[in-house]
Amino acid sequence: MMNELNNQDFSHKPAKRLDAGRAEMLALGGLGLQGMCTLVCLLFSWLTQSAAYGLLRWQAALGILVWFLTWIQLRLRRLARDERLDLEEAERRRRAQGMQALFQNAEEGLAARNLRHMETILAPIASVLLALGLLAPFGLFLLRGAPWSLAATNLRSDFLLPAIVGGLFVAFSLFLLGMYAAGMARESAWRLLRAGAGYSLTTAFAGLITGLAFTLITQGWLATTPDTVVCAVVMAWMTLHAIEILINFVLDFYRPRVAGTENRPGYDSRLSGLFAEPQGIFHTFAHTLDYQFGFKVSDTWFFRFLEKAFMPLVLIQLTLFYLLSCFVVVRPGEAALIERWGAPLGVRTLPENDGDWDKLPTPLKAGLHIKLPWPIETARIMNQEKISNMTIGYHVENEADAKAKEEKLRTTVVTWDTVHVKDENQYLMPLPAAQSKEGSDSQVDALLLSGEFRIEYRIGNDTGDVYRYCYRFQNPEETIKTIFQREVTAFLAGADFWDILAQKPEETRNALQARLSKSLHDSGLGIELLFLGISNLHPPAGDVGKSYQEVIASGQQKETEIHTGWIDANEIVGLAPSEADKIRKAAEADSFGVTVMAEKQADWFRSHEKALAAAPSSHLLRLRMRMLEEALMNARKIMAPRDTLVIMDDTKTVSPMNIEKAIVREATK
Amino acid sequence: MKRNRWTIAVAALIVVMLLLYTFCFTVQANTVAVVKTLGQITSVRTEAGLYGKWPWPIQSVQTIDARERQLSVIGKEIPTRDEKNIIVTVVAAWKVTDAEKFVTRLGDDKSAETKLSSRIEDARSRVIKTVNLGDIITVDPKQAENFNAFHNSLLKSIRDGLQDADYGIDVTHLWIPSIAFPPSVTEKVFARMTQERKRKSEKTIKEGKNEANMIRNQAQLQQAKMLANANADAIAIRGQGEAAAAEFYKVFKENPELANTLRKLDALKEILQKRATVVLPSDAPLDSLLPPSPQEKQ
Repeated sequence: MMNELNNQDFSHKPAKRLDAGRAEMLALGGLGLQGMCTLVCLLFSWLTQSAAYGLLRWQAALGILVWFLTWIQLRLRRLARDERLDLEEAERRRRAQGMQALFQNAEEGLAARNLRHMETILAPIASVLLALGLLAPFGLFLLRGAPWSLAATNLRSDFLLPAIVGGLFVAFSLFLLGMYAAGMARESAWRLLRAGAGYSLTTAFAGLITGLAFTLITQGWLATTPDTVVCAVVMAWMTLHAIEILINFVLDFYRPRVAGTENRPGYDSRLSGLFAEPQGIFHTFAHTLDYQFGFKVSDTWFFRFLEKAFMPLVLIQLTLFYLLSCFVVVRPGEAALIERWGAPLGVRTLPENDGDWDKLPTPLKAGLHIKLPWPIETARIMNQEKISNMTIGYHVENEADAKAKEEKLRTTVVTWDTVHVKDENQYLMPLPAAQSKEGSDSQVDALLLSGEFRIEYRIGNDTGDVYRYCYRFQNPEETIKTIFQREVTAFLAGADFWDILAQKPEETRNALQARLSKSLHDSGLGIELLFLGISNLHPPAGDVGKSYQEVIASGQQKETEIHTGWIDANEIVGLAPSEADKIRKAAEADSFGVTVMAEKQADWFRSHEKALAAAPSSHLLRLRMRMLEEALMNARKIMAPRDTLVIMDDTKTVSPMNIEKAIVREATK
Repeated sequence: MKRNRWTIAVAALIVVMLLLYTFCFTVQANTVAVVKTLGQITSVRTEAGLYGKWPWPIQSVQTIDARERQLSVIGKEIPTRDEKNIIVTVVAAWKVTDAEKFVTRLGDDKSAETKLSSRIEDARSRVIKTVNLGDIITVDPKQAENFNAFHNSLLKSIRDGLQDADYGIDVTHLWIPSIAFPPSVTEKVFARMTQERKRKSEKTIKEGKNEANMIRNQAQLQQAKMLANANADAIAIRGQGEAAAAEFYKVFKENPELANTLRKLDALKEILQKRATVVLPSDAPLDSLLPPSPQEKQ
């Protein structure tokens, strides 16, 4: 290790003698300036509560560590070199005096040992600490959420202008420092300055975009978004920077130590180096090409030309891009107003009287138009043919919520008994005359109605309409919505509930449209109402709506009851004739049966009379016996012994069993 | 070195542009710029265009939007003259009419909106108490007139207040986008609407049931009449049958003893055929069960 250190760059004498103290002074100056910029960022972070400044102060503060490491390493290298020169000088003198070498083997001096400790222990540890410091904002972001969510709501507008100046001060001062240090770092003896130079230029860039962000905010563009964007960009950069340092730290263990090559400290970021040496990108690219093609592609004239022409080409490209702002393309149906330094061309002050707006210069129509470049002239393009629409009838949180509710209403079968859209407006309406007469002594003589009211409109065709829409109201769409709501509320407050809901929809719509159209015209918004649609009118959805459905259902139920009554009646009356007929027929059958039976019995009796006359005793006996045979065929028969008295124990339960028991009992006596 | 010149040139350009920005300002159409020199208002620029100024902190510019903008004042529960509490949301369109007074007396938009809000709330509270709810929510043909009168009265009250205060702002339009009852009253309106409909639906259903029952009753009456007639006819028919049968039964008079014996035998046969148990002493004659024959009687 010692030999390696002895062979490092600091032991080589540079081609021209460079003052090591100058680099150290610059490092100290860098440290001071970086510290001052940190204080500036700290001040504006506190004054503005800006997320971008909040991050910038931390990024700038870490730069102090980089400059400190640079300074201490430069100093130790100088001391080590001086110590080695002193030792060599002493050795040469001893040899000149014929004395033996004081040291047989080159031994390490105190300064060299300190340097070795610095480069092998302190610098890697400090690099890791630097990386952790750079990663801290990202870690906090993961743990606590984005810092800009707080900044967006708390950004204080009192110090916006000073904040711009602060950002530019940081950018300008650190840019000068960084560029100067980067220039010195091209000399190998001062190479260590590259780390501080790169870091300061990074801070300068971050300060510049912070200043630009605050410029946009003061202009009222994009609200506080620029602050958020800058915060995100700086955090992303710091995270990448930290990852690079950590990767370098790991790879450094495996890097072969070759004598005579420079050791790049861990805190000297290659990413930051891009700011100090933009041409380094080309060198890296060239080395890659050389390696891939097997010959020095980077030595070809084309590559050298490209390297030289790159920056001019980029600048030309940017210039051309900027010059594109001289052209305005107005498409069919659109109208454009050109503003020079914020004033529409030909207009210094907008008129007070509504009629005078139509006397303003005619806006540009479709075609290609030329104007002065931004920011001298800007174009406001509006689509006069575009038909915008707006729906009211329910509360919406935001644009996405409005679209979701509109889509749901469009694709769902809406019934009164179900709440399909939350937060529907309940418009107050007077009680219908008939209901009022019913004499309720209610304190509130009103009904509630919900519905969907939709309008379509566009910017009017009069010359002044474009100007009115652009300049008269801060938020024309919000104003249109308010007027729309006002007219619907006022109209419904004086309309008949059933006329609107069912009986006179056409008249209702026309009356409301006429009223709304007049109101929009009177407000001077410069728009033209094209259509008013009223749909989905209903009493408050849910139980109230259901009760209205039940009235309709009750009509059906009434009819059902009546029909059921008729069905029952038909059932009752329909079968009555047949039942009557049945009764008659049964009577007839009985009558016939009685007659026939009587006749046959008479015949039967005569035949028995004849038989009896012929054989009086035997016929009667035969008759009696046959009767017994037939009658007793299925009867249970018990023969009791002679003189046995049959006693029925329980006359109520006369049964064969009782009789049998009685017989047995009597027999055993 | 050449490369450095490019870099420095671009950086210098950016810095120069940014510095120029601190020496110039623009006034957009329908905005007003108030220029302050060391904190004092020194000029007010109402015409749109490019103007020069000394950089901060010597001069600063406060730009004021002179367009009409909306201020929504959320409703609060206020009783009307006929003691019916309502919640009226008011939206005012206001604009800056005198930028210098606006800056001096109000400072910024936020402060202006706070003061304007309180004045609108005050005027609303007073004016609502002078109107009857029944005058503005009614099917009466004068409703529109009453509503506009209420609206104009509110606008006038606010404008008068602002004129007295001389804030440098004016309310150009006033809108009432929403009139509502307090939630508890709204619930009662819901309940009343529900009950009113329920009453109607139940009445309709009852009408149906009544009509159905009447139809059934009529049918039952008709049926009863028909069956009664049929039963009457049946009695007559059976009587006729019995009369006809009686003619045949005269033959039994010729030998009543035989007729009775035969009838008894028939009756005994019918009786004994139904789960009968016959207990006979072993010495009893078989026909002891039977009624005595005419010969035996003799």
